[in-house]
Amino acid sequence: MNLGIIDVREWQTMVDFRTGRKAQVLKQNHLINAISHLLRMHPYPGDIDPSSNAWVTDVALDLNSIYHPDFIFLTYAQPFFTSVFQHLNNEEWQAIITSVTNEVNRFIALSGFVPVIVGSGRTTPLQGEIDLSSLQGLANCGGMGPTYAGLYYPSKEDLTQLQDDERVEMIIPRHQLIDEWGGNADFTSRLPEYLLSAGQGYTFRGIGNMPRILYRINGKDKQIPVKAPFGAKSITEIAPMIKKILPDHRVALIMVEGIGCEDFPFAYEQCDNTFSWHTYGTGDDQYLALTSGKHLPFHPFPPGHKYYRDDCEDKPYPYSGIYRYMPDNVIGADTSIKSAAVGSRSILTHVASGADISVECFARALYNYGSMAVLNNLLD
Amino acid sequence: MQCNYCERRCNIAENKSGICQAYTFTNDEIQEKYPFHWTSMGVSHIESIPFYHIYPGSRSLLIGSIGCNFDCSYCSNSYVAKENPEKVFKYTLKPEQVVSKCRQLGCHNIVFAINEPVMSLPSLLELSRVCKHNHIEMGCLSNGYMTEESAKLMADIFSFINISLKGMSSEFYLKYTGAPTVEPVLRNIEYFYSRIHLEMTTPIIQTVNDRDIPAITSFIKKIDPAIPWHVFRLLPEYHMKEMEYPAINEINIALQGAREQLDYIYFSNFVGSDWVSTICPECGKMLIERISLGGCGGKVINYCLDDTRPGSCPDCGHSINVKGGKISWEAGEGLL
Repeated sequence: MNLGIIDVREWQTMVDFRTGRKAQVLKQNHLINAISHLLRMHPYPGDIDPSSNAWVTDVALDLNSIYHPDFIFLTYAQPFFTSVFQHLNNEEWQAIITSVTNEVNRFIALSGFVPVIVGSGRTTPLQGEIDLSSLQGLANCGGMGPTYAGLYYPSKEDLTQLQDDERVEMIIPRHQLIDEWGGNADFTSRLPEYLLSAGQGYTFRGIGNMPRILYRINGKDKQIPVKAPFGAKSITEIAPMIKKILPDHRVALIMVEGIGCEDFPFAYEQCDNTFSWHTYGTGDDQYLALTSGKHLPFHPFPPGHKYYRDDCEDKPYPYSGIYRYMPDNVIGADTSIKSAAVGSRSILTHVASGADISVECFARALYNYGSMAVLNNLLD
Repeated sequence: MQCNYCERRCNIAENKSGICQAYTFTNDEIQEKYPFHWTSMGVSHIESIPFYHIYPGSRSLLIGSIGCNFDCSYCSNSYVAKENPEKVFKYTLKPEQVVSKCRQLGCHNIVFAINEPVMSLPSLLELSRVCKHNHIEMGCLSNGYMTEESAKLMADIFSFINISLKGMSSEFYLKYTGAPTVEPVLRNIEYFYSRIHLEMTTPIIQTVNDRDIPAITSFIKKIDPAIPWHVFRLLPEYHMKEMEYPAINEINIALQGAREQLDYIYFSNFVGSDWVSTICPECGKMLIERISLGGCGGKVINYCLDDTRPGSCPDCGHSINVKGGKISWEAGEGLL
């Protein structure tokens, strides 16, 4: 059974992670007790709280002591959340970089892992919001400052309007996406009729947006920084490289969100962050490309998909957002290694890591509900 | 001129706004400042809003506008409700367009949440006319602090409502919401109960309003013990962000007495809650099993009510206050 331990501060519960139902764990064991204690000792401070970077490191160090994994995946999301949703001056931004740098360095120094550190790319000041709500068709654009949108049932007038809008960079019909990209059945069946791509600095507004005020959005960096003991020309080369060195080394893959080459505080090499004309932004696509070594068409969800479509009552993994299954091609899913993950990026920390044990914040749309641990197949 | 939309009854000077920032006085009348402007548009389970006792399982189009006549210290949506309206992104959609989106999204109903619906009553009235024409029902969350005239209008617009009764004393309302008295809220709850499907919500702030639990219980029982009551553990936000998260076990113990008097008490607003399922008050059978994924409500994962005998327990036949029967999540797919 996959077990979820949910901590909402001063109260915990355990759930069967696949069904979502309360778990009947008849026999407590050392590992469950230790993880439960870990969650209790480290309440999550919140997505834009500066101490959430220290939370990741503190939890990761404790989890390392408990489980001694061969591979650990860490996600530091506070720089991204803060830059997107708060107006920051340069001094404040530099303080955030210093904070996350110190926390990454502290983890590396105290844990002894070989670090592979990736910056997800910079954010860029918001230039404008492209309102797709008034189209006759339907525009799905979930996420935080989305730069891609899925268009369904468009009229001719809609397409003309979009073609005339200089802020819209690309309008790609579904058949063209399939011809150019191919992809697995999950991916192609969920492709929108048209995929829209916004120009630099612009975000789409439509169905599924968060109503919060945005200050910056994904910068669509074609190159992102990577510090690694090996060269990786593309984001999808990182996972295979890590798999190669894992037999001889304990490796920490560390994702620092919202930081691009110009602000990356470690010695780095540039790494291609694109597939075809698509640029990975901080979020699902990029995480899965990073940890699976597979490009976008081999992920379950394309950009602009109908995020609500599959959310029926028997959807498995209800605590994993849109995901109906846990990817089995990610680094931590390799059963020959012991793996762990800790992160301030909810859902993606456990989905993209595939780790034996994941600990992540339980935050949704910046609301801080607590934290959650996922124990995969350890209790059978 | 006096604005009579809510019980604040602000006197608004020419081209100025009242407390809520949603209405202005111009051309000799009180006018909505942002007609047909919406800040939110998304798809959600009706249970997540929360409504547990009407159209269970249905897909709702969630909309919201801007502004609020309260200033709750713990407001979860202050980034919309209390933000400068000029700064917040707003969609401009006429009623026909909203209904079209509802259809395209495969939604069964439209629910106004996020902020107080009284802020957009004229627009919502127009929207309801188009919805009725298209057989789409509307629901809302509300703080209940509207005038009797507005309450009548709302009962015409909405088929279902969830009123937040935040406490039982005017002192509490004044200190934590800025509204001077609880009386209009109590009056309107009774009124809505007589007109449309009603559920109620109370966010519990430990040591502040948990002592009101018995009084709220008595108030609900006097109207109808079968009114669903959603008790929320307060998620500290806005001015109360730094406060301790309330203790779940202590609140749950405080609710024990209420459970003996009311049929449907839910306790949530935290992930993994054990108290979000509907149990038959007569025989104890679990009728609608839900899980709590965070946020205010839950999600249905199993439904056992006998819809051939509307609203009844399949084991003992006890009448259950659930309206409309189960609506499949996919029911609206492919209807375009």
